[in-house]
Amino acid sequence: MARTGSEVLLEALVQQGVDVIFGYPGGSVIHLYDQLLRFPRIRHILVRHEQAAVHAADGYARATGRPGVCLATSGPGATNLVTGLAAAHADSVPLVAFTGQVATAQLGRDAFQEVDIVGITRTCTKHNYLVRNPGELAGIIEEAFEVAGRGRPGPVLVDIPRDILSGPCPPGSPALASSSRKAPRNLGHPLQVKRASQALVESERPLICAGAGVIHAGAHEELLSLAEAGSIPVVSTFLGLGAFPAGHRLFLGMLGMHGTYEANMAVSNCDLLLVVGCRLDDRATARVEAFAPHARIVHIDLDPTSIGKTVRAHIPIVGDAGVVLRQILKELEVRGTSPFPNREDWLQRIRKWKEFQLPSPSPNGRIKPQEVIQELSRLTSGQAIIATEVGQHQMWTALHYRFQKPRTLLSSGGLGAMGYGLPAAIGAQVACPGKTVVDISGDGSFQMNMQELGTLAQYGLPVKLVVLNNGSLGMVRQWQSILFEGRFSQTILSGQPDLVRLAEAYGIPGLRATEPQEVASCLRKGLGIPGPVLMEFQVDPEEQVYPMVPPGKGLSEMLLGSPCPGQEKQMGMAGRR
Amino acid sequence: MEAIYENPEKPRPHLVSILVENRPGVLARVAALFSARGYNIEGLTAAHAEGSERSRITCITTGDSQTMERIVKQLRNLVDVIGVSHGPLESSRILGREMLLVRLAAQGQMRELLEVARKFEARVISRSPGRILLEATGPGPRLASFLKALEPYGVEEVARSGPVVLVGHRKRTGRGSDGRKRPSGSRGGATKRTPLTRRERKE
Repeated sequence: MARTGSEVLLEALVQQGVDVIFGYPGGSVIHLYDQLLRFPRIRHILVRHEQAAVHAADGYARATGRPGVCLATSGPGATNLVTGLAAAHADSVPLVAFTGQVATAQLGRDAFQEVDIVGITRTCTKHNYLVRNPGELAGIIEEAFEVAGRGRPGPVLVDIPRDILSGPCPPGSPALASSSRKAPRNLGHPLQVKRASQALVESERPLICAGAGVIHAGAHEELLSLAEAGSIPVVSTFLGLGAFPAGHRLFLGMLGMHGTYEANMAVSNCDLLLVVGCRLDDRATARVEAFAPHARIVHIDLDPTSIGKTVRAHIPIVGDAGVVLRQILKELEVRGTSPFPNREDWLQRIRKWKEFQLPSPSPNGRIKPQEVIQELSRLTSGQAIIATEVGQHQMWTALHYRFQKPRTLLSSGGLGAMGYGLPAAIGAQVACPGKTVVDISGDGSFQMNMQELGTLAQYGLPVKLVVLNNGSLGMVRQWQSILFEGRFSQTILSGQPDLVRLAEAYGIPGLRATEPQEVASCLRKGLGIPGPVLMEFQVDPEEQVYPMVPPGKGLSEMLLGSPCPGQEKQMGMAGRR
Repeated sequence: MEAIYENPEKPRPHLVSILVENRPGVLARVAALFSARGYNIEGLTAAHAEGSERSRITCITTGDSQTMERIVKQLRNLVDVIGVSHGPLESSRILGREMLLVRLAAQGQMRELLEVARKFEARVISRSPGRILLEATGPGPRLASFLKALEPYGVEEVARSGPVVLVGHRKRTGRGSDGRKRPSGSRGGATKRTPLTRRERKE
C-alpha cells in the first residue's frame, strides 16, 4: 500500500534531522497528527496559540542555527502564523512552517477554514508552496528546507491540502528542478577584498559594525581575529549582539537609536566603516545623511539587496561574512606583520567616550529596570540565552546585558513583534535543555502571549521569566513623554493581573520584588529554582531608555537623559560635546 | 532614501525581462514584489519561454538606474527567478515588439484607412460593412503612432499585448528600438552612456 502524504511528510522531516516541531492541531491536519503518534523520534510541543508555535520555531532556529519547524491547521491556524513568519523574515531566521489546507477539490470555493495562506504570506516569507498533487510533496519539502537555510536564511511555508495528507502518495517523487540553481556567492570578489584591505590599512580611524549576518555565518571568531589584528574597535547592531564579546577592550556596544554613547560617537567620527552582515536599517543609522559622515564604507553581505539599500557603500562585497573576513585576514597577512598605522589617537578618543557616564538614575526608593538587567547579567556571567519582547526592556537588555556568545540573544529586531519572547524562549529551551534561558519582558508585552505559561507548565520547561512591570506600555509612553509633551494616550495599563498569582495558577512559582534591595536576592532565588519561574520586578515607571536619538536626528545627536525624572526637557544633546 | 544618492539622473522607462520557472503563482510573486516595494508596472506580458518549464515575464517600469538596480537585485532573490536582464527602453539592445488589435467604425474613407494600415504594415483580420479589425506588430512607440494616425477613422476598441522582448547581445542589429533602420555607423548616444547589463546567470 502506498504511504499517505502524512507519512511522506514525517519521514522527510526525520530525514532532514528534525527532532522537534511546534504546533497546534485542527481539522485539516488531523491525519498528520494521527501519523505523528507513529514517529516517536519527532517531539511535538503543543503550544496554546499558533503564533507561539512559529515564534518558538524561530527561537529554536536562532539558538541553534538549524531551521525551526512549526505546524498549524488551515484557516485561522494558518493566519495566526503570519506575524511570526514576518518576524522571522525580517530577521533572516530559517524556519519551515507547514499548514493544512482544505481538500484539493474544495480549493477556491470558500470552504470551512479555507484561506489563501500562500497568497497572504507571499511577501513575508522567503518562499512558499501550495502542494497541488501528491507526487510533488517529497520534492517540495526537500526544497523548502534548502531554501530556508541557503544563502541569507528565511522562513518558508508549505501549504498541504488535507486529501494529500490523508491520501496515497507515490514514492520516489523527483526533487524539484531548481534546488542547486542559486548557490549563494560565498567568496568575495578578490579585487574588492584587496580594496577593502587596502582601505583598512590606510585608515586612521577604522571601525567595524557587526550585524546578525556574522552570527548566521558563524563568523564571530574571524571577526575577533580581524578586530584584534588591527586594533579595530567594534560596534554591533541590535541583532548582532553576541557576535563580539561584551567587555572586550575593543567593544563599544550597540549603535543606533538607543545605541551606546561610545558606539554612536565612534560611528559619527570614524574614517572607515567596515559593515559586516547587516542591512543598516533606519534604527541603526538614524538620519541617513548624518550616518558615518566622514567614513568610507565597506559593506560585506551575502545578500546583494542589503548593500546600498539605505547607505551607499564605497566598497561593496557580496559574500559570506566568514569567508570574506578570512579573505581579508589573509590579504593583511600577506602585507606583513604590522601593516597598520599608529592608531593610538583614535583608540584614546574611544577610551574617552567609553569613560563618559550617562546621568545615573536618581535613587528614589524604586527599582531601576537597568539595574535588574545588570544584576541578571552578573549572575549569569552574560552566558544565558536571553529572549526579549519588544519595548523599553528590550533596549535596556541590549544596553545592559553583557552578551558573550553568538546565538544568545533572541529578539524580534526587524519586525518588533511584541509577544515574541516567551514562545521564543520556549523554543530555545527545548533546543538547549541544559542552558539557562531567560525571557525578559515588560508587563505590556508579557500579556501579549502569556497563555504560553500553559506550555511552560505542560513540559516543565525551566524558562526564567523576568517581568519589568512599570504599569505602562513604556516605549510608546517614553515617546509620548519626550515627543508629545507628556500627553499619555492609551499607554497606561490598568486592570493588570497579579502576575505572581497568575503564574501560580499554572503551577509555576512566582516571585516579586518591590524594593531595590530585593532585586539581587529575587534573581538569585528565581535562577536557582529548577523549573520555570516568574519573577516580577515593580520598577520605576519614570525610567526612560537613554541614549535616545530622536527621529530625524543623526547618531551623534543623542538625548542622554536627565538626572531627575520629569525633567526631560533639560537633557543634554551629546552632539555638542 | 533617494536623497542620499547624488543622482541627478531622471527616472525613465526601463524594460525588465525575467526568465522564471513555469510554476503556479510565479507571476503573482513577481507582481507582488513590485507592489510591495512600491514600484509601478506599466506594461506586462507573460508566456512560455524556451521549453515548457520556463516562462518569460516582460515588464516596463519607470525608474532611475539606482532604482532599477534595486528592482533587479530583488527579483534575482526570488526563488523561481532564473535570470533577469534589463535596460532603458530606448536602448538599441532592447529588441521589443508588441501586438495591437484595433476595431474601427471606418466610416466611408476605407481606401484612405487601408493606405494608413499598409504604411504601418498592419493586416486586416476581419471586415464587415462599417467595421474593420486590424492587427499590427512593432515597437511600442511605432504602434502609438499607428493609433494616432487611425484617430480620424473612428477607433472603437483597442487591445494591446504589452511588450515581448529579448535583450540583444553586444553585436548591433541594424534596427533600433523604434524599429527603423539606422544609418550605418551611427551610434546611439543613449546606448553609449547607459551600457546594458546582461546578467542572465544560468548556473
